[in-house]
Amino acid sequence: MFNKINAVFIIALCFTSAGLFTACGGGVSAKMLPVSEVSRLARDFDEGKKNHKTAAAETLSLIKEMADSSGLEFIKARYGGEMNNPETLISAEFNFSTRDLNCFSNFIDETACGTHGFNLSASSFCVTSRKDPSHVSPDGRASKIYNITAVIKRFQSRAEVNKNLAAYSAIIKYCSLKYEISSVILSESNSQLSLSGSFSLKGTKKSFLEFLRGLRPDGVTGWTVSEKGFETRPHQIMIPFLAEIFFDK
Amino acid sequence: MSNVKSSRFLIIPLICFFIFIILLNNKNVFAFDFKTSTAGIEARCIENLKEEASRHGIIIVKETIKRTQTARGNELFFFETAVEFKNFSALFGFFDSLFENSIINPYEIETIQSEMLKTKSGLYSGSFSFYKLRSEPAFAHGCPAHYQILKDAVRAASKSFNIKINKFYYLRYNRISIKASSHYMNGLMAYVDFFSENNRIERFSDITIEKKHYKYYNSALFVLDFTAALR
Repeated sequence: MFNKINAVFIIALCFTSAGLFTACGGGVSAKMLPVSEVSRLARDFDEGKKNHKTAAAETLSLIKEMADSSGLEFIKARYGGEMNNPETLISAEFNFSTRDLNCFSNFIDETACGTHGFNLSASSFCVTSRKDPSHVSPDGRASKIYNITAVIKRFQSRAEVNKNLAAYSAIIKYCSLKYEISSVILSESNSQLSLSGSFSLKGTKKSFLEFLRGLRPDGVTGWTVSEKGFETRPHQIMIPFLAEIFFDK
Repeated sequence: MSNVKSSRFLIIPLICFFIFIILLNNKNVFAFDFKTSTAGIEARCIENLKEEASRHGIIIVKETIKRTQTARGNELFFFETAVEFKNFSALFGFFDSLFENSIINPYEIETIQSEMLKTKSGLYSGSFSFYKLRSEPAFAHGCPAHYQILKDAVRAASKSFNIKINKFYYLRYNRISIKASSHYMNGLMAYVDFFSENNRIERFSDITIEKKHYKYYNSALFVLDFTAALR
């Protein structure tokens, strides 16, 4: 009887010891997370927040849509992080190309008028042109391709948006229809719009000055138009010019 | 009475014998010191890691182990390795297994990166590193989510947006960087939108989308490169 009790006692002791040592062994390994737990934590982390896109992604999408609808061909977009300026939310640089400068003036109009709530504004841009030998215009000359680099900013409030956008657009539209434009530069630092190109018999300096006087856009403080020499083409004389139009900051 | 006494003499050696047998079977106990020591944890962790790697077809090309000791003494060692993998499923299956089998925790992973360049063996090359920690750090809440963001982002690229991942980089607590390409600009824009939805990230540090002409493709190819700061 006593031996039986002892045997049971010993077996119980063995199991207890085994359990104890197994528990000790388990306690050594660090606490780990299974994948299901990882997924759950990740989901909780996501669900704890509202469905919200970042301002950068939203702005880039919108500008891309506007460029498409204006007929500009997208080349490159570069967003370089948040601005230190508290009034500016986003600043991104875009490169487009087009054969028709009208498309660019339409794009400026879009940023000025078509994006209420986003407060977008073209703060500076640079348009350069190059000849494209693969496309020949009806008069036998190689057509031009305009490369556009524009810095578009998104502001906190509407008050910060550039008020002269409509004027820039109107001037570019008029000049692209009337003259042969080589370059357009808007400098952000001094709000100065510079255009270079060539006057022809159809569009002369006189007509340009009349346009500026007639338009009298808000914010224009003055302008200078200078001509330099001339070049001859079949049936016409071209006069290269440089126009600088100054705006209120 | 004498029977009782003699049985007691029997019981004590028997108990000792059984305990000895149990100790002998339970290697953990004998290896107690080795297991808790840095060398022991390191050896066991690397061994398990290599087993999982071979199970998922991951080739460990080069490995570096550095013993580290921070001021708090929580970091046991740092492991860095170059790997070759067949596809994303194999790579993320490997990491999932590491977490599932408690070999590494998501908060221990330091970097995961690949330029998605194929080696001579026809596999993609990449690398990852981790700090083995003694215990969970106080600031580890976002890490499982961050890993999930990377996994979802890389998988969704080809599955949902039909775009190709050219490069990805993940740095714990800090950022995710992805370079991808597609024949369709809208696919890339949608991918950027997807990535920024649901407050997955704190903000984008930079985004560049560029149209490139490759004679090889005989058409335009759009390349997206972005870095996002993690929340």
